[in-house]
Amino acid sequence: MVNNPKYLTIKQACELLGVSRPTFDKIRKRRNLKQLMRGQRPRFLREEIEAISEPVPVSNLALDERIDLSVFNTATTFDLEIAPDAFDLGRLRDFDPQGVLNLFCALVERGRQGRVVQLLVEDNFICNHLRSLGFFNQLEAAIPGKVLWARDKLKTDHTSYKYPIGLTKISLPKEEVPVVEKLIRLLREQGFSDQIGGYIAWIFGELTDNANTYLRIGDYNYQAECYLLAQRYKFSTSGSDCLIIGVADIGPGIHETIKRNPKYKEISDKEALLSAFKPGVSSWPDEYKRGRGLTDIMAIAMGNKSVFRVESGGNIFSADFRNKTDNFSVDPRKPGGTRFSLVVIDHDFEMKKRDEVTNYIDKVLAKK
Amino acid sequence: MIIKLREYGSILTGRPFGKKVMEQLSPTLKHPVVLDFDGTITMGSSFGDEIVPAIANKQDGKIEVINASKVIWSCLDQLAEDHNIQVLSATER
Repeated sequence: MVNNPKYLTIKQACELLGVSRPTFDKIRKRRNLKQLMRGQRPRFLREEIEAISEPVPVSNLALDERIDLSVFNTATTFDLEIAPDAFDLGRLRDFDPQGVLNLFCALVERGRQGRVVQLLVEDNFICNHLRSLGFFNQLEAAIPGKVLWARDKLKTDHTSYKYPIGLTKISLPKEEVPVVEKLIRLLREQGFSDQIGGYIAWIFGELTDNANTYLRIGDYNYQAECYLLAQRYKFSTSGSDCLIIGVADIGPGIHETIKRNPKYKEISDKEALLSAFKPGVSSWPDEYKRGRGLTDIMAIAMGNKSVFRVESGGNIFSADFRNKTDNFSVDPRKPGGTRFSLVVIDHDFEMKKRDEVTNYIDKVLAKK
Repeated sequence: MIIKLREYGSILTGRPFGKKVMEQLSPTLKHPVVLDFDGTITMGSSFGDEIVPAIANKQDGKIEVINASKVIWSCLDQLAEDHNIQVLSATER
């Protein structure tokens, strides 16, 4: 019988999993779900569907197609500062992973300058969402004794909006691997393709390796650590699945790192930041043949038609490869560190070749 | 010999890691080498730079791979172009 609670229709299974019919079809095929035919219509074992839904901690947030990863940007962080080193998080009305990383890095930077930051929180969705991401715990760990906030004010549970990767610190080489493996597993269970999982792992791997490598060398006085964040979304009009991934470090910035190579010492900050995505451009001398990782990431972003944003030492570059628009700007307050964010869309694609990345960067640099 | 790269992890990225893996592999290499990517999610070109051309150059500029996903092939294609080597699918011999 249709109303037998032991068996679910496709519609009921979709509702239980919080996925669309095409996504359910992918899950069904991938997991080879048992089905019982009732006439012409398949039914699925409730317990089998529940077993899929159980380990899925990510929400299915709608994402406006117009996203440019600047919902809540570095400038907004400073707008929250209502008195020196006091930030009113209750004024936040929206944010995306880039915004979370911006806020986090700005606060850590303050704390590492020896200042105590005071956070004013309210028991609203945004502040509780930040808590569920591990934002406050990571902040207290990053700048111990330098954060004041009223923990007991946050009471409402918003764990249904938990990210598949909450704010996660990576401080050792390859420490990101189990985190990313878990993410890929979750995405696969939710119907994302293996291909997209591979590219996401590639991006995370390169960016965390960069942070771990470049913050460890030379006479930098920075902690070799970076922070990861990822959230799943669904575009509100097209229904496409996508993932916003973010990686942040609190280092000197890409432009400063590149300029350690005497060859690039005299170039502008803009040229240094953008050139870092060209193959072979690195802080290392040419004979070491470095400078592949960021090129790979740009090649993936371009091929995937991603929305891409990097903020580094106050230099901000964003590109929307769906409609081939881009923008470079400078935040005069020069916040430190580097934040990358990408909206990676789950569809079949080919990453671009290196010379296409070079041509693209040259075109951006040629713009006034 | 077949090298199962999964033994070094599922996410093969980063030049220092590639260098470390190559150092471990070098003393035991018996050519011709086939790279097996079974269980590997991804490989970045900085990691691949340290492994793939180094082995291929000891095998007339050729190397065979098995179980490489589309993502891994996109990296292998870049490496082949960069280093002027041939990367072949062992199943298509």
